[in-house]
Amino acid sequence: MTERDPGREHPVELLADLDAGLLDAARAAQVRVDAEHDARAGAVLAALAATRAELASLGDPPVPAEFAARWDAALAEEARKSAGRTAPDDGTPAAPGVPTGHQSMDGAPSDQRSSLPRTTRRPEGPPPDALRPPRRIGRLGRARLRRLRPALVAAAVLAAAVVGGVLRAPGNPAPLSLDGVDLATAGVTVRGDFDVGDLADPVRRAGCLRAVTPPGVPPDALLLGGRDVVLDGHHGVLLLLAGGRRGHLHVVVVDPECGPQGGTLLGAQTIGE
Amino acid sequence: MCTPTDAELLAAHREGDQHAFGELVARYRTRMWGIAVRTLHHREDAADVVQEALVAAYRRADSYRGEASVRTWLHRILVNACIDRIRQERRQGTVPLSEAEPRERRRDVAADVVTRLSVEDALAALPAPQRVALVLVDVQGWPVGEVAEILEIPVGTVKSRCARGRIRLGVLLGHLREEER
Repeated sequence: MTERDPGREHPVELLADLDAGLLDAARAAQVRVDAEHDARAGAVLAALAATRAELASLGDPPVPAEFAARWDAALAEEARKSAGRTAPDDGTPAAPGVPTGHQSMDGAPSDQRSSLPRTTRRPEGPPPDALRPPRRIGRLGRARLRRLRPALVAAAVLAAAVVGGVLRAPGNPAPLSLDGVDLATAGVTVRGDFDVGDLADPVRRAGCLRAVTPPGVPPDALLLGGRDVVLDGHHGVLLLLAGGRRGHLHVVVVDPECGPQGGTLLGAQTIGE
Repeated sequence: MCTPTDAELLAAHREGDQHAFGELVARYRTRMWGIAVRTLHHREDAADVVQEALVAAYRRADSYRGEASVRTWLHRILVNACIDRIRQERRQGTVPLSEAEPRERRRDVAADVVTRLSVEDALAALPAPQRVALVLVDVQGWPVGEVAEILEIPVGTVKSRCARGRIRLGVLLGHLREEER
């Protein structure tokens, strides 16, 4: 029978090893006997048990809807690629929705109230067609945001449906007319759809955003979706971009030729607070 | 109707079933999110890492050989992505809190009451190897053997990391007195 070793005070590390099941049977039995007669050792073992219990009480936090939709969009893109669907034609190895190590996920603080910058002229090539000044963006009122939330949920469901194969995204849809359509609503409906032509190239897209400087939109903002659109009679590309924090998105419409050399900002709106 | 096993879903996905991978993801993504956010202690990084892991698993489905369970295989991809992200931050010179010594408990001098860290903050203060082990064993409740498979280290190493991590955490949470260390 294992007998107590009087006077022995076991170090915390040994007691932790006992608690973790690291000791062989004989050693574990000895330490247990010693601990039964040592108030300090008993307190240490109780503290370790309390620590384990507190960790076990941590549940899994719910997945934020924005992230779930982002993952669904990325998987939808993988599904499209593997099925030989329309993919970015610039040879970009990663799906547009898959962030790379250097891509910052935290956007610059958004400025939701400023007017849009002017068109930046390209130094080379023909200038773009004469365009009306880009529309002024305004901060979404809370009432509008409440109306928008069902659209956000719907967009997440839409993306999930694409992953599940229930709903197939069209191959080469006609440009989406934005006449009478709120930019924010249009933005969330294209989530998971990456039909943005050359702007699928992150470098090209970053150059475009640097050139046209939509307020509060970092050049390396993650692309969540996009497609060809017609806004106020002008062809453009709508980009839905991550805002860097939960529920914060940017909708930007640029001309299809937008790039590092310049471009035209046709519209911009920020969703979320 | 029988619920398909994880292995059956993965096999179906490899055979071209467009629903299968989504169903597999639905089973585990909350747990994967929990592991990532507790390991990285940064929501955006955690979201990135889960996405990377899901896409990697989608692409590498053909490489699954069945030596480990699908659950283990999937979470190994995730944990490796988390570890890569931690290493990347270290290389970029951002010293994660986990690499420093654990913060001392803040003490309310007037009342001599220790202000405890939250469990999440305390976890973030641990060195990454201890943190990962405790997240998987104590938070997620995974068997030590399976955690050893995920991390591809011996069972004894998992237990040792847990033991050391629990000591540090016990002090940070106020269960263990500083002088006990």
